[in-house]
Amino acid sequence: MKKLLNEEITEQIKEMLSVMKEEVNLVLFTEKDSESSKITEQLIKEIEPLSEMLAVNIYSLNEEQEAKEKYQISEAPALLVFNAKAEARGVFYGIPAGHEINTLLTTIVDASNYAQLYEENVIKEIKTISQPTNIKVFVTTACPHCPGAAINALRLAQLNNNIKAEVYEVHTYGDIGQKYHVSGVPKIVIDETKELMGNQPIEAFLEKISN
Amino acid sequence: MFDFKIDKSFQEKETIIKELYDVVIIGGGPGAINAALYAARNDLATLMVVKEDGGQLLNTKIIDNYLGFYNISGEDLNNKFKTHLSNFNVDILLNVSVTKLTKEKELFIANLSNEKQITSKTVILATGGNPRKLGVKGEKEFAGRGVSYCVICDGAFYRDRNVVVVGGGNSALEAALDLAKYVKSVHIVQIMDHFTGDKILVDKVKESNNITYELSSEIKEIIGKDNVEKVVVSNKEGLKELEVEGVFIEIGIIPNSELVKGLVPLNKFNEVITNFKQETSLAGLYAIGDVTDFIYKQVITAASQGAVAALSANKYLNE
Repeated sequence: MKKLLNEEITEQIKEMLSVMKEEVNLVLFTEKDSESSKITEQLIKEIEPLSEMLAVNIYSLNEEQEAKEKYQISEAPALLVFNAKAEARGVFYGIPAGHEINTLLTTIVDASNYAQLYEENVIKEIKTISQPTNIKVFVTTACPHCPGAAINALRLAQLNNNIKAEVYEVHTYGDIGQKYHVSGVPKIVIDETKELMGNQPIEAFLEKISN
Repeated sequence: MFDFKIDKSFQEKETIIKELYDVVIIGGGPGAINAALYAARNDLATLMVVKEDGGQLLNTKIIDNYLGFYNISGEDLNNKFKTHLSNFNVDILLNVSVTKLTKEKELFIANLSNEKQITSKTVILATGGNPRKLGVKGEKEFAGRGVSYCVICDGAFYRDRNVVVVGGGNSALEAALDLAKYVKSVHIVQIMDHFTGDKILVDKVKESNNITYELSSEIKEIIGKDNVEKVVVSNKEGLKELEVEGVFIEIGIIPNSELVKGLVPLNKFNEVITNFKQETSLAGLYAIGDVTDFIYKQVITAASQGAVAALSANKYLNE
């Protein structure tokens, strides 16, 4: 099969992952006869050897009921990035290609405990969120502004147990995109009702969550 | 097949803020990057405060008027700028904004969104702008549901559909030409009686099979249920409805000059007034790019202004 990542991109990914401090586990759910699952699986298998700190587990949604229930995943492809403490509260649905490769790589580096994710005052505010909060971010692979919004949502989930983040690539997940009337990206939907458009700074996420 | 677009990051290590900078550059666009390059080459202690990486440049699919880079995407050009800058000693604060800027005695004090404060002998304002809104009924309600300010981001949602592009400058014409490749039809609505974009683009628009346009016309309202269904256009003949599913608004930008309002004079468009050295009326404060009153809002003119501002700041510091 032809490789997805060319030599130049492979080197760039290697360089990006070289700053990882702790081990990270990527968990991918795939679905039988799904082209997007096959591509995502190939992509993840090409990324895995680019860092010694990276491990990959692949589950089939059709066959592995236990994992499906454990991680509460019902659709594929779905990617979860686990840190060394085996925590993951964010899910990326779709093929992390195009600009979305940045969302995946940044989330891996974030999970490796590379650096403080935000300034102290922002982290403090994130930790005060006590109500269960769901953040959906709708993205496309062609959108250069999308990784910024997706990364903020995934970081929020990483910093607070009460927050769950779901990133949907809407060309793969067209039905979910339609359900949420997505015709512009990035689109952020908080708790099913509150919406934000564009690559919003973390302060805008926090304001929307609290209001 | 699949394309992978790795964004060149501004920095890969944490920045330790110095007590005093020679120059603080507020912004991260082409002007800011070139200002940082020129400042660093003059050995000035330089800090960039970047609210959002990329900004307007990322909305440009193809740039073919930046000398030396024919037919390059905005993001690739941006990555090249950042790679170039990474060879120089510049401190960078990413995803941080300046919330307040004051000058006390001979020094500028900038309060940051991370609740820290920085001090500098000079400041180069390169805060750019945001897409200008039409200000009509339905625009806000249908943002992300048919109304868009970014063809690169949202164009693909309108494959085989009818869309309208509002505006007549380079950005609007480029948006129309890009959309025309995959949508059913593009109709351009331009308020002026002529296009203000480059002739090469105007000619391409006129040659296109699925682009129509009307001059001296404006959108009065955007209508729909869940998503945009039509727009109301006003022209010399009166009002008419146009059935479209997408409205792409490309009518220029609003300068991000709020930070210096009251500190230096702005013109009637809220642009910072500068002279040919990029000086504002306040000694040590310079402004460049889309936030200024310079008439041409181009990548290359912003970059050039960045060089001028850094050299002016260097001269000011040496006097």
